[in-house]
Amino acid sequence: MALNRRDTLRLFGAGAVAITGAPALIGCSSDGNSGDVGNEGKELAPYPAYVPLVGPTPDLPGDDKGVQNAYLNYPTEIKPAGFDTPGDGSAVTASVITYGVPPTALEQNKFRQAINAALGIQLDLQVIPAANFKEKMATMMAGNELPDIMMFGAGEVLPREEQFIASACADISEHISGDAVKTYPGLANIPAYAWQGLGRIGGRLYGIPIERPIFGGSLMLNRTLVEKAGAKPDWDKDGFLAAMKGVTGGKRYGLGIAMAPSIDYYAGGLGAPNVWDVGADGKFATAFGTQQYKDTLVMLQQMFKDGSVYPDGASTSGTDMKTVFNNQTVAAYRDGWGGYSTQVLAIAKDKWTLDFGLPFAGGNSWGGTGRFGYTVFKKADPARVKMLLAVTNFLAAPFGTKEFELFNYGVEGTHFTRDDKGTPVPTDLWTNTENSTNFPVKYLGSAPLVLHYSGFPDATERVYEWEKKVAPITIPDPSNGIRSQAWTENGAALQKSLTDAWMGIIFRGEDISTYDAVLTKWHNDGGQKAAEEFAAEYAASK
Amino acid sequence: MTVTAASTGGTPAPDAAPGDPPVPEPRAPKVKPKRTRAQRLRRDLFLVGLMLPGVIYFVVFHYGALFGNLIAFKDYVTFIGVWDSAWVGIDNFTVLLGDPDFWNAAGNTVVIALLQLVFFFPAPLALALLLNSLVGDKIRRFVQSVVYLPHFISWVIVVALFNQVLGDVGVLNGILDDNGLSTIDIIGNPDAFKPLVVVQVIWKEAGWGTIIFLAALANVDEQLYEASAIDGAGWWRRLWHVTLPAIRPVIVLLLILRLGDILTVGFEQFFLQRDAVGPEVGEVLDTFIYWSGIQDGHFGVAAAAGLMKGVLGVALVYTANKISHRLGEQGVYR
Repeated sequence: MALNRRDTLRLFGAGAVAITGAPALIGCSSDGNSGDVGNEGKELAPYPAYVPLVGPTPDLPGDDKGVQNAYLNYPTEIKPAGFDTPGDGSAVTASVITYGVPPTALEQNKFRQAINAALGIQLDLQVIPAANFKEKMATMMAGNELPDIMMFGAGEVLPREEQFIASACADISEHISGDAVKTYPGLANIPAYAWQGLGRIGGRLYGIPIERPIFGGSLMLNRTLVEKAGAKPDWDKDGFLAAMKGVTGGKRYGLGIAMAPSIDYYAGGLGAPNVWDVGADGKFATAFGTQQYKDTLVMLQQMFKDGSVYPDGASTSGTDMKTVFNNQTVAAYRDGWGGYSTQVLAIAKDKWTLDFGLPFAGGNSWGGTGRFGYTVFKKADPARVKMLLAVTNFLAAPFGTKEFELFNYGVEGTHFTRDDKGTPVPTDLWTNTENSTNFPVKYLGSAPLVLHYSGFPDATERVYEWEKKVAPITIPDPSNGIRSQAWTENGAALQKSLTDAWMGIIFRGEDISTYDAVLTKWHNDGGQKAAEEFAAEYAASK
Repeated sequence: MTVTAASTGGTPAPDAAPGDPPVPEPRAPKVKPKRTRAQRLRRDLFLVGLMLPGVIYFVVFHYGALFGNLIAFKDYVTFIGVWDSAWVGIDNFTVLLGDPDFWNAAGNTVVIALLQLVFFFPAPLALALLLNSLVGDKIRRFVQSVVYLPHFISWVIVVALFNQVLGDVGVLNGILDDNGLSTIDIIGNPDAFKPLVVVQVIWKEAGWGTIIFLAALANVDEQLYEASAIDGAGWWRRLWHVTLPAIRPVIVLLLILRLGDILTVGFEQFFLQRDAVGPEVGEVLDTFIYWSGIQDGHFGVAAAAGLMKGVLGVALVYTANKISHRLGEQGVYR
């Protein structure tokens, strides 16, 4: 046996000293590694200028409030973007999240070959499965071999992410700040809110956002079930409650609430501010402590008690809740904007109508971050950085161009054919193996999204109508794009403590009065410090 | 190990005639000359060589890895590295011990560990005895294979299975509901959580745990059973007086080893279910470390918690080993 008594004793002794000695040594702490990533008091590099590219005329035009350009059908005329081939033939490594399986080898993968040819580089894409994105990224950050292009985000905030970027990644301010971005027309086509949402680190620009619309969480709705129950989805709170009750019966429930839920749709509906409440004096207070938010919790608790909420929600993951919704066990659940997809539309088909629920009358809608993620570049000489920027620029070729078609539909004849209207129809090769899910260059650089559900023009129209109504009442998260060291270091645990409390109140009937103690602890454990840091940063960013 | 030199000579023979040469006085036992370390090494070189691969494995992957515990005393930042991260003394321990959530997690862990010890630890033994008493080799092999299977199912599936069967919209409550009976709330019920997780672990691991016990049972001398049967001992008496004493060293060994990682009650199982019942009952040390250590990148605090768990484990093994010696058992080491 590897154990020997003397060593055993020695080990134990050392541990005991470490534990019992603890109180005597309090105070010899240092703030060691907290790098300064804030923007307060720094000279701020201006955000890139916005020079929209003119694409195919949309069927339903977007606006500057955040409504997207909508295309009911695929454009008939596809033009080249007119960008120069960005690469110099060199090898480029890049890391990116994947929701698919690893791509096949370059020699046999025509999609990869076409992308290499178009970009003029030998792209070595390191795909990281979404399930262990966080761990893999942490390992990569700790290692010495960084890829040339790294994608961050995808809903995951990594510990000390900004600190890492500031210390290991290229400052690209001089290349894209202000009018400089006009060298890269694809990047200049990214709207201002996406850049602002990404923010600066220490006053400088490091990343290129992978843009998403301004909308955040919303209510996925089975409109058929709701209307069958005699309700109309342009509801106020009482109308919503009645509708959910009306749907419930037998093995069917009105609302699905998953474990560790976001309840932003309901809270926004009752008028709660988005994540942070910014006072007139510029002070930050958590929106999760507002009266509106407490009212939301009480409302959901009551709904659960009444039986109009799916009873197993507390042990159902967000992903599983999608299934519960898709098989019509629940008529509504909260999901991100991306939950509304052609996949769900294909499931619903003619059986039921998929729609977004409108916020309660008089309420607001919590906006999202304005991005899927963002890309940063390994430190290199300026020529190399410029080349990499040109690669992301090329990948940001807008909807309606040859390049966009390549990145999102593949090679015509190999990966897709066209139907009589010109809409790309994927081949089996694309559906099964060589596609943009398994080789997601779309997460290295992307044009602003347009509204287009291929093959579902009526769904496109419904979402467009929804965006028209919701964009004006969408409120941003004031902490989006600004930095707080306290939040970086404690955010996950702080957020978890709140989610735990929400679960207790909604599913286990804990009294709302217990919530104040949770909030107090939240404040003391770093929430208050984060609020102060955010407030200072917020003021500085104005 | 040292062999005392046998004394030669001794008292004079009784029949010795005077004038005979005197019998030499008895000599002190001859002390073997002490070999030097180098000499002993040369003698045992071959054996040492045989041991080397194992030693290297332990040095690199176990003792070497122990130095990672350094980060329990540092504000470790992955991309700065272990050496360049700042020393913070015992700050990480102070933070940990001052956190009521840590104590809540520790309390849950201890309760669940004790429940596992009382209910889960004997389960494989009971199952092994049952399997061992099965006649018919084919049936036994089949049953053995079936009870091993759950070990290879991941916790995600096991938890989902339990939810499907025992959940509020699961099979059990479906049947109850269809027959007009009142449903029972098991999944998501904080009071039922601790028994539930023990039942889950028994379902999943009891079969796998029988392997060592079955091997031990196979070594029990058949003649002892025959002899005791002839003496009129029934099934129970044979179990009590033959089987259990024969495999007692194995039971004690496994028990002590189990104590070493008793505080590792399992991560996935709790990670998947804690949200449904809340942290008050569902948080264990491993999930606590995950949320407050790994998620926010407080690797120092996480390492401190791990180190304390390890130290406690060593203490438990040491104590249990001592007790087993008192009781006349070999234990893990002498």
